[in-house]
Amino acid sequence: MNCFWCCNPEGISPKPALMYSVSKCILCGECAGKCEHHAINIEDGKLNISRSFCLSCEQQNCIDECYSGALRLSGYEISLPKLYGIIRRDRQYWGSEGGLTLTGGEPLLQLDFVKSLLQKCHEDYIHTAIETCGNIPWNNFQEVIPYLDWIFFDLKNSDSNLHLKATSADNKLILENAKRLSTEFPGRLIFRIPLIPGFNDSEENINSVISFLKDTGRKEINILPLHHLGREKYQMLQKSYTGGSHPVPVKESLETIRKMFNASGVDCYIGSETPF
Amino acid sequence: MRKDQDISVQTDDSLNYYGPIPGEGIAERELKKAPTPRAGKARQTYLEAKSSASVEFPYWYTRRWEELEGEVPVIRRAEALKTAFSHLTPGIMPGELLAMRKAGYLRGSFPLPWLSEAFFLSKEDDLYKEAQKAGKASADEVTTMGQGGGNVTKSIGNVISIAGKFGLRKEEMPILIKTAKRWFNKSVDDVGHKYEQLIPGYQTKEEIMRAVICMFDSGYTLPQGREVINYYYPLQFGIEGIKNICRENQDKSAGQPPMDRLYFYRAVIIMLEGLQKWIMNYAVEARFMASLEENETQKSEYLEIAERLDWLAVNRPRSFHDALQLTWIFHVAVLNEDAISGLSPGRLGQVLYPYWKEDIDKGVLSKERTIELLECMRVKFTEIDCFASMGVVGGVLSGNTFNNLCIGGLDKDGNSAANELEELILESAMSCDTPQPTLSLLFDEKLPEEFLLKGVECTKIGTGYPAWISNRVAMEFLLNNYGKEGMQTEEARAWAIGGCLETSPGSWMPLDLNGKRHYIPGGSAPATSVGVHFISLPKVLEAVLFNGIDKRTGRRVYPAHDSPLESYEEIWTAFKQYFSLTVEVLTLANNIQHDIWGKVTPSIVNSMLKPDCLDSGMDISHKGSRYNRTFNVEICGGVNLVNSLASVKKNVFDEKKISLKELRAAVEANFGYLSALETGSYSLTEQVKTGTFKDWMKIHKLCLDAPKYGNDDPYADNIFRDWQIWFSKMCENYRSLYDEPLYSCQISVSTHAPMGAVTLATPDGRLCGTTFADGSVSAYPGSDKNGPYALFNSATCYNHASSQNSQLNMKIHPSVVKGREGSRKFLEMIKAYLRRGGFHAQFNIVDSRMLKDAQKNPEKYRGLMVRVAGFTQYWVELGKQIQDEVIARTEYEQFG
Ligand code: SF4
Ligand code: SF4
Repeated sequence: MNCFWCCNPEGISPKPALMYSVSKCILCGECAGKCEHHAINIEDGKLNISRSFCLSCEQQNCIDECYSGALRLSGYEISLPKLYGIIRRDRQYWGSEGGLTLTGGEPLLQLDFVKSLLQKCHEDYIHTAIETCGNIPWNNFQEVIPYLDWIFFDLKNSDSNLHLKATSADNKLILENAKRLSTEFPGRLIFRIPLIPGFNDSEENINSVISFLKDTGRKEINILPLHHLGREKYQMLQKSYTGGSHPVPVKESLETIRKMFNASGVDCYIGSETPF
Repeated sequence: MRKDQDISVQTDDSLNYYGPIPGEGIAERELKKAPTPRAGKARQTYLEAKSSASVEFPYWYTRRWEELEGEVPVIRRAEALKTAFSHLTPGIMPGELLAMRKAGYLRGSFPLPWLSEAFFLSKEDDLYKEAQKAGKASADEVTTMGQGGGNVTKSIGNVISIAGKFGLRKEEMPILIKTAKRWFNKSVDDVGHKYEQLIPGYQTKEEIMRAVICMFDSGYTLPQGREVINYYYPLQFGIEGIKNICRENQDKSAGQPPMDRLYFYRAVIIMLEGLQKWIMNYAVEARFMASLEENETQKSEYLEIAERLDWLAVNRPRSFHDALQLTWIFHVAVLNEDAISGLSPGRLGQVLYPYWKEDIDKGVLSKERTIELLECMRVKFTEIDCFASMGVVGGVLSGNTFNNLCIGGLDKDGNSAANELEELILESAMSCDTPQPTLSLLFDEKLPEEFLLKGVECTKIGTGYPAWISNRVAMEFLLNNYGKEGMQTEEARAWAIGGCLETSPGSWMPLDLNGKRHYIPGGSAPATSVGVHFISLPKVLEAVLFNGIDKRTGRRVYPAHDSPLESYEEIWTAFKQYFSLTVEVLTLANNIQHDIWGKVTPSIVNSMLKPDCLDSGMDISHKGSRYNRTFNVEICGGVNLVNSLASVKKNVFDEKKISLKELRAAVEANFGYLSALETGSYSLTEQVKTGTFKDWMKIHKLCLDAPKYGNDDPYADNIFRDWQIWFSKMCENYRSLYDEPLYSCQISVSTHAPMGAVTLATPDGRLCGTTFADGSVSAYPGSDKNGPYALFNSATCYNHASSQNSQLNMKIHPSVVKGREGSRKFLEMIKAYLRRGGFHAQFNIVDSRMLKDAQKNPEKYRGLMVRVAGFTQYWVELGKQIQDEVIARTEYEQFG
């Protein structure tokens, strides 16, 4: 999926992307000279990266040549034991209150790795949670359910067409998975709405979420209001950010929505003001 | 695709993934409380006062000393002290509840020329030039002194600035010079210098001092301190009582071997007579002031002071107020006998608890009054100035006197020792937030949670205290070190911090009060941090890279090692050789200096207080105290050494990305930057590039990207551990003048600034002249990229009990610890570190933007305090180097 409001655009592609910081670049041109794919060129005092070439690159020579730190990758490969080492590093501190939350991108696209990681954590009594868009084969859920304590599940829009337009996927599979999880997942399943004014904050959409919650017997919802903190990262990826044209939700409308949920017996948490 | 290890240390931090970017305004610290009006006024008066020197004490001391030519030295010393004390002009301030101070002025102190007479003379003076020749003034020359607050750094009008910090009345200057010159060739410094030249390798020692590889000699600069005082004898026996003990012992020891005892007992009696006179002079002054006073309340307060002092000049204390006054008197008395920094009151709340509890139970004392008294005590402790040279006061101590007060810990039987009086001590430290006494909380799992949270509340207001110290680690260290002198577990519990951070042994002493026996803790060893003081590890490595030459001055420091340095092991071996040679010559030289100190100016006041000098009849320089394995080797810049070694290992040998020759050239070229001395800014983040920086950019990036300590990265951490294990073991190869092995100590106080100032760029990417990483296990500012827990893991990669006081400083943004929830989380974080085996952690809860603002507008921030290296100090009294370093220290904006 590819949602226009995404605040982690570097996670949309499954491959790590080259991130470029204009302010650090001294336009020395070293990177351009080293790129075998001729993906970088400097013109009129501006550096351009041709992303279509760049995506296929294995060596990333450009980064090694950039000594000012203007180029870096948005991600890297890590082995399971190493990652687990980082996770347990501050275990003493969070003790019985904390745990692991996997997020993305869509974590369940890396099923094998995620499954082994969740399994390891589960065995070692680390609380596990996952944030998912839901748009993945049911089997992927089935594989990890035994090792999961919590699932955060996005409901972006009840209107399948609007959903398709905004995220490049319809909501059919998502709703199916949501329903199945509510009967087959024994842990805590929390639905979430990334609230985008003008896209999914209509009364109609909220009402259909309410009835969906009724059908699935859920008593809580978490609203995540739109923010623009990811804007800078779009610049570094040299992508355009269309989410920027949507305003962030105002307090009153959030309150109205909260009241709507409360009236139908659903606890509504906004942002990070949650009991979890 | 790339693997994580290639890029796990990133230099990019334009994006903040570690949590919310703080909002626009400067975040204030929370929880401000106001002092009582009395203490508030006293504090204000203090803030307006300047460091002032006077010559009464040295004049009378010298005069009497000269009269007694030919007398037994310890008696001569006692008589000189007696005369000096009896002639000190009393200084009492309106509103004071605790009387007496070092000298007549509010921030008064005086030079002690019998220790060293050259450094406070003017730079033109011949004696000063002599000192310079011997490399003794090098530390002074590279130190910047705080320009604000009470420091008198320039002469103005009738006030002359001496030793870079103290103001002296112009008319007293000739007397001072005359007095000082009498000590020429007689002071500890001069006599010691005469004999230290006889040690093999003396030339190397002098070159080491000149290169500022070692910061200073301890024997004549600060021979005492870094220890815990013991108030037991005056409390239990009263001054007259102690004199009686001495008289009895004098009778028993006259003519009996060992012979020195007779003179010691005699000397204690003489000295105490001097103290009695001094105390009674204050009583007379108080009465005189009462006679002039029109305000009835003030008048009666003066009279109360007079009555109390008259009583205490002879007798045991009768009340909490008496006991507090008496402990203060002896604190000042010890401070006046020597140049001392780091004389800590120790676990004062436990020493005074029996008195306090009785008064509270009897209903003659309230908690409010207790707070008022404790606040007044804080102002008194803050007033203490230490007179020593600029390199020592500014460069090493940042003007701090380290009167560390400890709370918590365990009692004699192994239960929590925390008490209600200690809670009030915490409270008064919050309401009257002066730098002294700084607080340390001796953390043990047995301490009640409420008490710990009170400690957190205090740390949170941003005073930097209490520092958090692991009782378990300290006890392990003590039993390892002093077990050989007979220390048992029970007595190990009596320890406290002496000085900024030194784990100091203590004893439980039986105090009888109204038919009940209480065991109170107190210091039981002389200065715990004397010997080889502050070896600059990055500078030693620099000498290794340049075959024994100090590149800054071009002088040869060490004999050439002539190793081709073709492998990492060869570098490590050469480093060990140079370091060992340094420790060797400095141990020998310092042994002589300390021995001369014990011969020329033996301690009498402090000796009398320390168990078991009064039993053995020996002073502390003759192993009179219970524990004597107190000589150590102190280091500075350990983290920069480790990061540099990691960079050399990775870039030059493992991956062969650059040759050692190229690296050397880059280091000499300062990676194409101006040196910090040229820019006037000492933090890495604000350095200025020269035209050639592009030539060095590649090497600089490789150096910066090499594995860094503080990231839970075994590559760097293993080097750190190897160094620590080797260091702790090698110290035992050297013997102190007391014929005990040395031990390793991690303290660097604030030497990382002046020592950084004279060091070239280092292979870890640090630039020339910039300050080293502070503490001993703090990461280099900006190099710890994986959050506090990764830092904790790195910091505890070796056993902290294997050496004295490993030290971790962290800066935390106020928003992180906000509110009650913030307090609980903060405590959990502290506990996580201590449970993992960390010895010490301390925190600056401050927004770095506030500090930058304070650098620009010092007048707005006279009261702002920050934590430096084991101590809290007013921001404006810190040197620029240290200010820059505190600003640069990585600021945590979210835990985990
Ligand atoms: S990542 Fe590869 S293709 Fe892209 S700019 Fe760098 S070297 Fe060229
Ligand atoms: S190497 Fe780095 S600094 Fe140089 S032009 Fe490329 S991105 Fe800019």
